Amino acid sequence: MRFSPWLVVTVLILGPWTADGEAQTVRVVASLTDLKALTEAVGGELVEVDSLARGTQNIHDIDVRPSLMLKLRRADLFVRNGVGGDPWADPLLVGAHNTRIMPGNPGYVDASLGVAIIQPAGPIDRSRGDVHPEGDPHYTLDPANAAIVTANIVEGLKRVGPQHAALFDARRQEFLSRLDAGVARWQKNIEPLRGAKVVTYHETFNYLLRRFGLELGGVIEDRPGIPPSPAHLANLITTIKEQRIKVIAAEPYADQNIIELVARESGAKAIRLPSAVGGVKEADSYLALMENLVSALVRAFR
Amino acid sequence: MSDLFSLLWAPFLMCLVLTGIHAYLGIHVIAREVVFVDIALAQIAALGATSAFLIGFDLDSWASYLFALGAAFVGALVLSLTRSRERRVSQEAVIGVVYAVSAAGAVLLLSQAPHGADHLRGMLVGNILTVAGADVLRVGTLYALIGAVHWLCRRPLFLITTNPDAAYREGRHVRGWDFLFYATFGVVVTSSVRIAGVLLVFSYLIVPGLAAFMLARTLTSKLIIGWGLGVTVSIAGILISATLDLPTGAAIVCVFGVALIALWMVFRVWRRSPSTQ
Repeated sequence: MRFSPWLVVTVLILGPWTADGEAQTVRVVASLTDLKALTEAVGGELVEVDSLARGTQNIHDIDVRPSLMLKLRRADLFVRNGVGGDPWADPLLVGAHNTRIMPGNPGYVDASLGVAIIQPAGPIDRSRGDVHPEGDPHYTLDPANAAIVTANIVEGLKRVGPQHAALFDARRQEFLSRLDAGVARWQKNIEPLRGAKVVTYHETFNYLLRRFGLELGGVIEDRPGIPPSPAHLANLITTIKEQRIKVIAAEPYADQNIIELVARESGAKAIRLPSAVGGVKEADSYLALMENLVSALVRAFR
Repeated sequence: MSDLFSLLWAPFLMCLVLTGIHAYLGIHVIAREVVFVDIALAQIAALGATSAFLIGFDLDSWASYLFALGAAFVGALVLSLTRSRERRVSQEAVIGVVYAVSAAGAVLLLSQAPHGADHLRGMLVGNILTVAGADVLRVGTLYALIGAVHWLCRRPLFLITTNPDAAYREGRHVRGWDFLFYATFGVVVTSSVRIAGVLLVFSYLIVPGLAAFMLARTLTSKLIIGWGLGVTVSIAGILISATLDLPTGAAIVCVFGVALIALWMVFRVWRRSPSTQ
């Protein structure tokens, strides 16, 4: 199809009006894909959700296109992860000049409110690696937290779309009962692995491991973005051998060469785990992500 | 459309501010054959901000900015002191060393920090799309002041850039003027890179100057060509980014590249035409 300049002009002029015309749906922007998926789960066809980050991305490399800024500008609701998981969203929020979705206003949701955040052990100081000052931000990977997160989201949706309040509640209940059924099944499948240790690339999967009775045996890159030191790698390989740790689980964006090195030297098996919805193609919804994570872990230990 | 326009006016004005100072500085930088000096100074400024962060200052704080500027001045000092009259070693080699050592130094420092490299990335990857009107005013004022300093000292600064031998013969304090040049340059680059990122700043610095040297002889015509190209590319880049929904900074950089190729082809045709007639 050829682009006619008149078509572009017409769309640019008429675009905002048609968007205002369909005020039925609530326009939501989420910072991360997990929150997008959970908002879609409780909002269904009543919401139109976009995510600032993509699922495969390391959430610190976000390249913003004008359309995303425009979506933030027109959004009725902004759902963010908080806990230091999406600080890059702050300048975007300021740049979008949309007061409705600024902190303290009805269109702003911090999905972490009320979630029990895993705090780093020991005192927080700048000499320790891999410590988020606010705690571990990857709380959506524990399905038990989904009830709290969706409650926060539904509260926000009701504030900006009160006419759909009953529907949001009903959809949330339906989603949670399907999730509960899933959790029961996943727990049964993963039960034989209880107490097993897993080495991860970053400390991304703490909530997931804790929920399903697994333990963290160590991390490869102990300081995000900084190549691990030779001594750290040697220690880790020794630990894996001594404790007979079988599986190294890495995020989609993790450095393949280092993972292969550790796997080769230690004899453990390396697998990729999606760290968010969209991290692998099959994990296209929250339930699919959890399904994928659990079955990948179970398969790896076989 | 009004929405898109109101989102993009501040980035657009910032592009004009960047064009104003960088197209001018680019003429110096190309004449001195030190095109990567901006990246080296930006990197050493990032090292300064990193040390401020480790001591406990926030990345957005004034202290962090002062540390970054201080580090950039150290870089300026190194660059002006390593300049010798005989020029046995290219200045570009020193620039490369400053870049590599400060980048590696930042990695070592950050290996002691809890969040690791995320903070360094924040120093070097500004996003032109999130610029606010207040930023334009603040940075515009700063660059106007620096422009005024360069205007007042235009004679020695241009003499050292274009004909250092003559400057030495006249008994000018070459190292002192050199330090002033690199220090003011460091201030500009430190601020610009935080706003627009390394790639965009490099393009605004080098491409207008390159086109100017290709097409013009006198300083005035070089400046006019540089500024004209910068403004044209800013407008085209932002329009393309808006209509095709592409990341704004990268779109402008690529338009710069296309514009340079187009200018070069026009220039070749233009130079050949007298001989073929």
